[in-house]
Amino acid sequence: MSQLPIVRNYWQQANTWVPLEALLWPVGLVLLASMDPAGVHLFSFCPFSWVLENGCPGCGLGHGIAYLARGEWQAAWAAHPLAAPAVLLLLWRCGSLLYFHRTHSNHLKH
Amino acid sequence: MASILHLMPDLEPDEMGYIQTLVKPMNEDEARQFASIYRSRRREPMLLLVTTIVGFFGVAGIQRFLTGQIGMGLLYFFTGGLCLIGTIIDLVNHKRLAYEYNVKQADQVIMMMRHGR
Repeated sequence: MSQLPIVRNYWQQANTWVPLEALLWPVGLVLLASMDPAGVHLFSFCPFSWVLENGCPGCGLGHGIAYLARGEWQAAWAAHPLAAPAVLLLLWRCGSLLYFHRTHSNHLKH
Repeated sequence: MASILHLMPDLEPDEMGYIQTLVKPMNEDEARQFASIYRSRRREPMLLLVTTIVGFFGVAGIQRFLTGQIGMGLLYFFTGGLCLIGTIIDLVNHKRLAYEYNVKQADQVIMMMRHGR
């Protein structure tokens, strides 16, 4: 936790150029889309999946997005019903962030 | 020409910079009216930080609801903060989220005051 202020400082400096949140969502979506959803499940970064038997409510979201990228709508729905809305919402959020940045960035300075 | 520093000394530096550009052309009365409306509408970055941390222990996405992003809030709520990743992003990003929301609110208050005249 002691690293957080340093991370936030760099984050805010980079944010004056482009909102990082608007970069992170597409990068995450592309990474998930390029994943093989049918591959063998080796390791999960999710701490909930180490502890809980059934995982957390977000389990399957990544697979759902990977199936969507391959056009397998039914498999995506089976993996996580929110996969398609998640993609749309994240892209919408990126759009509105970039719009906000265009209209207000001239007042941001660090 | 009014100064926001005297009316609202509790603002964040970025936010103050932006609000000052809005308040500069106002007279003292208008600035006071603006400050009182704006104060009731803005969100403290600390509130967003605390509600983000709540996302690690149970209900995720409150910070997105508080900044008017209902869709993102629902998505966070039903997916455990996008498998915690979204919650971690917001932990670092909470000041920016607050700034974004507050600037939009300030713009709205200005619009309201123009209409009310």
